[in-house]
Amino acid sequence: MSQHAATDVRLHKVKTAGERRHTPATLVAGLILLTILVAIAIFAPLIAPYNPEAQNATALLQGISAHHWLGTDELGRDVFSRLLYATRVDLEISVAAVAASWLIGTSLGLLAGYAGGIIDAIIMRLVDFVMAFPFYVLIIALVFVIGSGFGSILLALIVVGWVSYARIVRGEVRVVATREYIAAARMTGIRGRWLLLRHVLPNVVVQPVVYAMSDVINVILAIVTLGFLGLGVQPPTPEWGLMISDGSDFLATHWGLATFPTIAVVITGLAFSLIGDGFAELVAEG
Amino acid sequence: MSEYVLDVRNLTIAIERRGRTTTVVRDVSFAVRPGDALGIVGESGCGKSMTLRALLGILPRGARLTSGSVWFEGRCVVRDGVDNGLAALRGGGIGLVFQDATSALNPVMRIGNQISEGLRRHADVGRRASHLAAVDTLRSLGFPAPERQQRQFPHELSGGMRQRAMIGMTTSCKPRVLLCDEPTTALDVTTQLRVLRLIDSIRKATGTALVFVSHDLGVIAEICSQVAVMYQGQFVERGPTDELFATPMHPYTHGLLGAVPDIDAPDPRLFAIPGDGAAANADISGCPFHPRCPLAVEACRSGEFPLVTVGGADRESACIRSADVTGLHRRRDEGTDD
Repeated sequence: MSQHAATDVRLHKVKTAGERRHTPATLVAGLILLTILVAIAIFAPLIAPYNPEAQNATALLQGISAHHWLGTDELGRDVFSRLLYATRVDLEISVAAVAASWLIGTSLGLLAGYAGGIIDAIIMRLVDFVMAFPFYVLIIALVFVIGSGFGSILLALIVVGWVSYARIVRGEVRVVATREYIAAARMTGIRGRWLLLRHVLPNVVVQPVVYAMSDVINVILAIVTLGFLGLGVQPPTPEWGLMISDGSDFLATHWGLATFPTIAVVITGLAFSLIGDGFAELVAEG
Repeated sequence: MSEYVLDVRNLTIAIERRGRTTTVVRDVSFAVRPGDALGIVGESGCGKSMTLRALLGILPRGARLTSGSVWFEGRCVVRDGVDNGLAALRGGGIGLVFQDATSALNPVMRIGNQISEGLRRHADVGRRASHLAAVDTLRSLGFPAPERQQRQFPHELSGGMRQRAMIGMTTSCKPRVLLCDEPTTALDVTTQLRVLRLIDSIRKATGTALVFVSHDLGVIAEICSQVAVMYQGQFVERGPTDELFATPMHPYTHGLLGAVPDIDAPDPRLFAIPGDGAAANADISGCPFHPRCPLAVEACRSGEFPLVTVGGADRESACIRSADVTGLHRRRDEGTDD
């Protein structure tokens, strides 16, 4: 009998194609969270009970109540309404900044890695130049020069942000360019832009996408930091960083003013990092 | 002369690495007519693949043509080592079947697209027509469900299917010269035979000229009527396949044949050529094979050793003692060698 036990064949459950391609739970959770945030941003005017910029001298610094779900600030503005509208402002800037950085960085990285030579040298020295500065020092300096406000922080974030994408993509392209399938594609007469866009790009695109997910979080933090320092979006436009900055004066008496926008930042960060993790997991499973 | 579809003369390729230049292919000449099947046989690293890639202008970084000329259908495409229009031949003129289809197929592109892509770029065929052409190609290559399989990615196919898809990708543009770089090396023996028959049937059906590179003498014997033996970047012997294998006229060919297992032989021991052929020894003067040659004499140590006509009209050997090789070979066949 012991002989029999030793030769017992364990039946492994055979994985089917459907199972292998399951979507990671983190990705699902992140996407749900992000969908909610995007819905809030889009439908803020419908959900918000008050005008976010309307001041009310008769209702200053009120606590949580049925009228003002999250209370009011020192100018009597409804915190809940401001929070909803701030979602819109912060998401818009961060997504726009990351999308533009991704596009510019990926294109230039592709060009540098593929063309090589003098084009590669020029692009990569530019990347080195931008990277030589500490992130916040350069952002703040740029905002100082071009002024504060929606457009200028967006511009500053793109100027600083594209370099990481360029560097990642350029490295990937250098590797992919030596692959046999690129030689095989060239063998069939494919070259130039077609080769770059149809054969090289699809094989390098995953890394910058994964990076973008964590970059979004950095960018949101940068926007909030700029807002906190008074260099970002200007009042009375509701913005999380600005709200945290204004609310911090009343932290001892009215903790909610700074805490609620902080929670909003954390939730948004969580959504993107879950998506980033989940996406990386999905890609790794291949 | 113009009956040749591809005429390669004195092709020489050098690799430059860290300032050092090594000649990896030296003075290689061959020519093929439509429907010809030329085999190039030699051990790993002897320059076979480099020769094929040079003909497509897709040499790896650091490698370049240094001299030689190539004519394609009477048109000079390489003159004295200068590329004069090889790029225009890619696809329609010359096609290459890569050794390892797994790495030569784009992992993120559907099989059908990879096959039809060359057509779309080259023959200016539309999306719909090229899609149908891809399905037809897969069907002719023996894919059981081409409609479904053209939508699959390379990793979803078996090794044999991938190699057939690779052949489809190369042949879809109907090249007039089909180069094959050890296309069956990564496959098991039964699959190997299927792929070989497929290549042979394509040659017969389309009249393309075939240049087939391999280290496997059996594979060469299967589908090539002519064979050239390459050693250290040089052709050392050339002739009709059956004659050359029966009576080699270069000691290297003799050695190679001795290294093939023969289960019918009275003494089934394998013969190994002493020394290492892969060790880059471009500094050796004289015949490149002399350090490993059982027949080497003082005269082998210096000078040039080009192919010269020996024996029959279509036999060529680079060995100055080619007559003695025949005796050496006969002795081993009779089991009286050493």
